[in-house]
Amino acid sequence: MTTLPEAGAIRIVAANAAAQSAGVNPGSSLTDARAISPSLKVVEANIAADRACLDGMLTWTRRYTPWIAIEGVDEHGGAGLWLDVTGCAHLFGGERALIEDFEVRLNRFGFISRFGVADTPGAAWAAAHCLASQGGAAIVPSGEQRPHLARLPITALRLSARTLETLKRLGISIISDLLELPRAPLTRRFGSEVCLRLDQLTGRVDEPLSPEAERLPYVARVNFAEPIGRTEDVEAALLDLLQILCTRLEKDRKGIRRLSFELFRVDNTADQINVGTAKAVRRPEHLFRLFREKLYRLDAGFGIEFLMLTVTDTDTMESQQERIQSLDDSEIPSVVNPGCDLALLVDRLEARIGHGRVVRPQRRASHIPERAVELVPALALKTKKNLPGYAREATLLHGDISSLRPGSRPIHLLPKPEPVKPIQVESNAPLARAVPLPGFSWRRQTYCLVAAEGPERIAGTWWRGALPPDRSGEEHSYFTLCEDGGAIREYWRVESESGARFWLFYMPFPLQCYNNGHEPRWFLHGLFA
Amino acid sequence: MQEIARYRSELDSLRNRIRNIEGLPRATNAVLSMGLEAIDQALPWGGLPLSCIHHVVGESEFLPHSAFTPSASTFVAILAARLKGRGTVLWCLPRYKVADALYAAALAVLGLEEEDLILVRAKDESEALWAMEEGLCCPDVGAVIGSLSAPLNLTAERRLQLAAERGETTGFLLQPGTLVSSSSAAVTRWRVAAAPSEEPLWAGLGPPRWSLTLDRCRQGTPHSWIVEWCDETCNLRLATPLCDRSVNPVEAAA
Repeated sequence: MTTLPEAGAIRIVAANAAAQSAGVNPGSSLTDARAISPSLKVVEANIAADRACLDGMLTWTRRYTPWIAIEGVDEHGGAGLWLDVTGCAHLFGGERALIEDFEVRLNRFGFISRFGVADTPGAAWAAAHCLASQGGAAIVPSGEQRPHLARLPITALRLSARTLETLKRLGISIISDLLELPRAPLTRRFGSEVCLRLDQLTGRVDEPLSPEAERLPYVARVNFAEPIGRTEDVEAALLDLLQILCTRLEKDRKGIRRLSFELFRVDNTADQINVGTAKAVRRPEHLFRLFREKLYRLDAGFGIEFLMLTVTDTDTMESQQERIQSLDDSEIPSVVNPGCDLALLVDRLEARIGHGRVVRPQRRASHIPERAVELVPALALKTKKNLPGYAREATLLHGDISSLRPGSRPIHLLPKPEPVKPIQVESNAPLARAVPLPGFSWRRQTYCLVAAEGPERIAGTWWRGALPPDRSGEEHSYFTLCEDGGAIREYWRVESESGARFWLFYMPFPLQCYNNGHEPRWFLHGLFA
Repeated sequence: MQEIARYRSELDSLRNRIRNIEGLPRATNAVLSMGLEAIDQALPWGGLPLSCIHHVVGESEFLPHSAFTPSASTFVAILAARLKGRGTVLWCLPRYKVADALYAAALAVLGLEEEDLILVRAKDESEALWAMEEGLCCPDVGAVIGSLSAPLNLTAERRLQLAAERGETTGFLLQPGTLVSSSSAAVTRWRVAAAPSEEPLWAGLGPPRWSLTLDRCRQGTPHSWIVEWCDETCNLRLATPLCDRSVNPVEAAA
């Protein structure tokens, strides 16, 4: 049951079958309804959402007929659609078959519907509202409005509430009463309303429906009288098509995210070129340059006779000033729209190198080194303020990564820590500075260490608990350790004889699962400058 | 006296002609201070000239053919961070793994924040070179860095140089030391290698040191320094030579 406040009281707008069987009817006040049935479930009506839903449904009904309109969502819960099925019903096997199909589908969507079919919109309205029941469509045979609808109450006439009230007081309750009355006194008493509605019912007055305009997809096409084959011609045509689409999109305040360009050759073959942009774009030259990267390998074959450009994805984009024109019509070369060229560059790079290959590093709130940075698309960088809340706890416990001591992180971080073998070296020079290990070998090369700093202890995300065991084949290897509850790494910055610096870590508590005889305890994770 | 002045002007015009033949941007071009007076003075332009290509060679002691050149990467990142005011920094890398190996947390400390940096993860060297050329022509890009792990031919370098001049953007070619050929179209060539650091007064590691060599320089002479990165000032400084460590031979000879 839904309600709306109206004239100082809360009125019921719509009630479901259960509520209506309990005696609650739309139009009565909520207080009365509560008195009848205290266990009512009340929801505030959302007219805008109803309207949006009806809009969506209207688009869908285009499958039955192109001539469609919304009857309207009134304050009394009525919501209806007009469909002019003239000349369309036979495609579905007649009016009744069409309605059956329609009703089944609506039912599946979860809607309750009532259908009325008649010669005139007025008669159809009356049939749907007062004659039809759920599951039983009312079909008024052609030319027989009077006999079928005369017995209906006057509420079937779409009259205003005031007129209905007056008519009721006069003792007129069904349509046939009105039809028998002389028209002149009726008009004098009620204005043209009553007679108009009667005539619309019987068909004496035409009632045109204004159909909802179809939202055209963003498609532009061009046909050639003679097939074309030169790349320059295709480029010229493409630029024209882009211009058309960009003008249309500008009106709708939209920008292009993805475009598809199709070329149809005379021998019935087609080629397709797709481009995408990193953010919404509406400049034909920008888009044209993206296509240009790919047009060079175009094969015209016996000639191209038809070109089609389709926008497959759009994004909202507000109008922007492209350039400033001075009074004497010469362009002032000023950057009105900074970052525009960068967006073009990123798009061109992505068009050639591939999607997701032009990236920016983004720091995340994690104290675990390899998880503190992720790569995001180049133009989708978030500011520091809204870092993805990957681990709020981590931020709270360890602070932002930017608060790290400068120089404590390596410039190259290996994608996976690599195990190193500690070695013993006979060094001539005395070990002046305390080093955790005298030397190690990594990738078949040996390094002797002379200085070290550490350890910096980094614990795993113990508060998250251990990982589920079936994550991958490597789930127990040392890389995923930091996610595994309780693992600890002790990081050392060490310097070799030649001055090269390494970021090593030591695992003080080896894993039980890594016990095939020789478990590595030292790992190389990064290289310093 | 007048004769001397005449000779001098003639000499200047000759120098300009040579500069034009060499393809170096105009003499009035902007320069980037290296932050170290000694290095700035060793360069004939009083700083690193912009709108051209610079070659930075990483003398990595580990892995002869690896693209891991931490010292050279850091050096380039420091220079690029100074150019970020002119636009975004584009870092083109040919291999995926290395792109992921660049650690943004360390770059941010050097002044290259994540908003200033775009990484291009190219499929191979030729794609990375193409991306570099595109980036050099873009007015919104401040500097282009290309980490390459294959040898470059002179034509490719020349193309990049022309693109840099056209787009007035500075490019840095980053290569491991083993791949570098003797001829180069770049305006300068630097060699960067890690050097042993000084023992600090406290326990632990002192500031990192590199031996920085100006290997090739148009109209200039080669030089070598030992520099130190100072975290506090975010700047390079000359390291004082140590008495108990071997001094760089080039410097000793000078």
